[in-house]
Amino acid sequence: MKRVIERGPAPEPIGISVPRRDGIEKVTGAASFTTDLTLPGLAHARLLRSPYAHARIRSIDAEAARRHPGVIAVVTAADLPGVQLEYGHAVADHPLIATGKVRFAGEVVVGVVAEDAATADEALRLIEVDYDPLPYATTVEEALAPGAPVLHEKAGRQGAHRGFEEDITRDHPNVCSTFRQAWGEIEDAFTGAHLVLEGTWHYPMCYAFAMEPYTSVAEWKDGELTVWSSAQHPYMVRDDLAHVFHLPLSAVRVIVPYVGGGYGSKSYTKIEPLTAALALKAGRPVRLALNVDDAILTTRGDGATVQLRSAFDRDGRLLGRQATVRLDSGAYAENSPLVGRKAANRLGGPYRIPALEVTCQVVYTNTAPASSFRGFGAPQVVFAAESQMDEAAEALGLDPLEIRRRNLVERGERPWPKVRGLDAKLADDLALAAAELDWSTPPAPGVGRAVCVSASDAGSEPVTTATLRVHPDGSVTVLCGSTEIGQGSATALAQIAAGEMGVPLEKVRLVQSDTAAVTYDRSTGASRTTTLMGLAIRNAARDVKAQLLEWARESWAGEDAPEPVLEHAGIRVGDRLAGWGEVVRAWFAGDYGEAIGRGYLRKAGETAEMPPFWEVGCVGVEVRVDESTGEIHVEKLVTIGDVGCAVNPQLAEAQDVGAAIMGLGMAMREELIYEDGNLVNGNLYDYRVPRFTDLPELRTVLVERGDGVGVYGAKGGGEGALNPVASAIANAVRRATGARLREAPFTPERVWEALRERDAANGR
Amino acid sequence: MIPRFAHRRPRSLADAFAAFDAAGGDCAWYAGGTELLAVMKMGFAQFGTLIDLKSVPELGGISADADGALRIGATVTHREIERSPHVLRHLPGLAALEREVANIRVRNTGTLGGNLAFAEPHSDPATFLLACDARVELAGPAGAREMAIDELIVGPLTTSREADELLVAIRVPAPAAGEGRAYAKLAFFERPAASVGVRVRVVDGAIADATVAVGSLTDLPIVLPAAGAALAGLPAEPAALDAGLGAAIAVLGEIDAIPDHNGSADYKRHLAGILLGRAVTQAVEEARAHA
Repeated sequence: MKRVIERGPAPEPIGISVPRRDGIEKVTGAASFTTDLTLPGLAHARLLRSPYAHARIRSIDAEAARRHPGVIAVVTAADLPGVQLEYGHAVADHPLIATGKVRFAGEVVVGVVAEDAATADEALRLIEVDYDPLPYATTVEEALAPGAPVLHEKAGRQGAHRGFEEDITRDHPNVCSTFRQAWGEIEDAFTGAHLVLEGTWHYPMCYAFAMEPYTSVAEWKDGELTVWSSAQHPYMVRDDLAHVFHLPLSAVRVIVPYVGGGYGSKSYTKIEPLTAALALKAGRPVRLALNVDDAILTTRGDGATVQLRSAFDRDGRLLGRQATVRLDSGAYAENSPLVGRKAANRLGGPYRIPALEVTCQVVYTNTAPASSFRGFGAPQVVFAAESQMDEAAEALGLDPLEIRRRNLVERGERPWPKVRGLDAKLADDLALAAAELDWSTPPAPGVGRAVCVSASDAGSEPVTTATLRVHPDGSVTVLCGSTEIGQGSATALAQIAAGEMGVPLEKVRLVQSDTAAVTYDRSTGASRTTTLMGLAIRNAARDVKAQLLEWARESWAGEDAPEPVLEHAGIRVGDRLAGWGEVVRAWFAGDYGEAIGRGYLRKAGETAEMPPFWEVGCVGVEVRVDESTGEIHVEKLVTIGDVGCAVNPQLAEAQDVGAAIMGLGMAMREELIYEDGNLVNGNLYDYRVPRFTDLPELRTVLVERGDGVGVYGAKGGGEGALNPVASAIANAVRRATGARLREAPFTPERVWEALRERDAANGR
Repeated sequence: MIPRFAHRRPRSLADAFAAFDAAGGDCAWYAGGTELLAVMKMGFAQFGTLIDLKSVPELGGISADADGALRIGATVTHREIERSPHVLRHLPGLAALEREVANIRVRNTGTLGGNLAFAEPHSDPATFLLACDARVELAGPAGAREMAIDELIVGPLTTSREADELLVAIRVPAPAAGEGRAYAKLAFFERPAASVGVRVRVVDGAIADATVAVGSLTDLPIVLPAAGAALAGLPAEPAALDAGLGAAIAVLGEIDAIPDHNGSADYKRHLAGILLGRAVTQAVEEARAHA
């Protein structure tokens, strides 16, 4: 890892690669995840899923299962009167268990609770469900065809995330939402253009493949509900549970132990309402632990078709961009309407585009529901946009670097009206990536290089609180609702607290993600945690310091007493520096008590403008293609982690590299495949993510120009490097072979076909 | 989730047959479990008893005779084969193949006998051993017998083994003078997209006779006598070989390949052709060493 540092100093340990706080317990297996939890009387649940892509449920005969020894409860939708069955983040269209009809193969129809999971499994085999199969649509084309089977007879209610009212148009009964982003005079842009390019790109539906599948434990006591879950956003899950079970928010407690990877797939509510419903009927605490096959059927990423048209002048300057994006969002809306908005927006940057018109439709299909997924619409559209930039460079005889330089938005410039100005120097990042690839040295024959960039309007609502407690010995406890999902928040946030308070890191304890114990945070996603929770913790530190200064004045007042002065690590009283603990002890007049700092963050002040930061991506690749088989060998993968201020450089590097590798997987091999209404590769054998042996040479440059909104100029990282990977590989393959790839993943057969098309076009 | 089952661990072949008898038919032989347990987990099969063969001494061990003929016990793991000095010396193509089977966890527990008995159409060893004219020894309560690989594997996931019979060992003949054997595959996902096993005998600088086996294209590995015949007579040196492979590749081009996630029938046949070239080149090289 290289670092480019052009920012002001930050107090240690901010900016230092301290070891992960959870590192040793995780590598030794001591760390506790939801699946490790045991409770007295804990019962175990298993689920019966629909074998049909689309069917009415005529009847369910579960009598034999109910009588099976060891079974505690068998639960269908009919057994849950009084429960608000439908929930959903953007649109409340998702029943926690099938109600009268199933909309994808794998939808949960019956839940069985038993003394152990094996007994529950046995009982599942005793259940008879009588289905009336319906015609189904497992692709966007099928779903939008005339006379297509309709998944949702009526429009879903607005869910927990308000603000999609306008998007829920139902201009076709299988269109969940439509979002249009537009500015400028689009007709004029194309009329006067020197070059117009048009193409269609396909991006696959993918599985996020967190190592830990979804797991929840639910327990009811005196009408109050406690749920332990592998959830990224405990407070959002709390809100949905309160809604489903008609409870006050205070009666729902969501606790999130360590989470074994999220990548967006554990954003919002998943199996928690179902687990709680099963526990309610069982009268016992219930554990529902999915395996990977079930997890794939729970949430996936949106597949996309992107039709993109761009207009350029003779110098390669973008005049306009017009696009139609269709997302294959599966049977339920989940968060896809927001993915759709983001997909549309993310065709807007990082270039100066005088006129733009993008329509993005979120389409229901009879497949597993799609939702938040690392990159959030960007990987899908950047593949098209950055491929087309290289096509334009080629058509105009320009270097791919040069055409990008001519169009990139400058730092501080707004990519489109009403958004925050770009907080990155992308042209400089591009130059760094090119340098790492020896851009000026021509590659060997059969080898191709490419550099691509992206800028995402981070979907991070700045609604966050933090509590910082100063104990009488000067040590600090921070309470925050941000989840440790493997990204390192447990370490980086503690570093921010230690740096802001001027106390050693080992004196900071961070308590995370328990809605009854820590204060509100909206979410752990969209690369927001270090930036936004970091600011909330900074605000809490400022608040407690102001409190302590007040206490010092009160405690040490007197005629000749010097005026206490706030310093970084304590309060100066005359020639003496009193530590924070001493001020607490003095004010309580004993070795006890504590000071409480409150940190609030909302859409105001420095975080008034949206997005709070831009998440930029900049990657370079070098590839070699085996033309006999169509295999692409990615030899080098360069990422530029433009994070403003790397609070923990090693963690920041890991996020950047991890994102790029995830992008590599989706570009090269990952794809969920439906045949005859069924997911046919939804398992560990057939769905292939990159292995270490698949990895190229990896190089990361961390760029710290202090230009983000977060502490010492920090801004989010962790998604950016994913977004341009597919386009970079496709462009590099084009430069190596002359073949153009428009459908990811680039399986060897698709490359082989593209090579044959090239040969046919060349008359070979 | 794996349904409940009883686990028996016999210490001899006789004990194993007794355990089978005692289970009254509702049982399966169990060695590495890399296929069996997965199938049970997925709910495709259920057995009341698994008879664990890992402690049956008659089924283990690798030996070689003075000529280099190999005898590999049925419960020998892929990893053991990959590292066996006998295999490395007498059939290096098999050691190389085993080094690339599936993944390290499968190689450490999966066995050669289990692999052949499962008869997965993408089996690497089955395809290569078919080209090597290997034979398998079976034993059952009624006695012992032996047969060729293509007599054992008769269909996808189907063998001619009787339910109460066990694979005891796999025997690979010693290489004849001037003989070379090699295997080439391409795998983009867990299982190969295409694979080719080749045996050639080189006499006086030319291929005298050859066997070509192709795996992963059809629902069981197949020998293509016409492809072997098309290789006969080709000069045993790289440039001339490349130029002369056309007829053999054309035979592969006639295979009624089954499309799968690796690609279409056309693409898989194309890959088989590429792999034939790679395997023949390696086999000829090895043949020279045995000349």
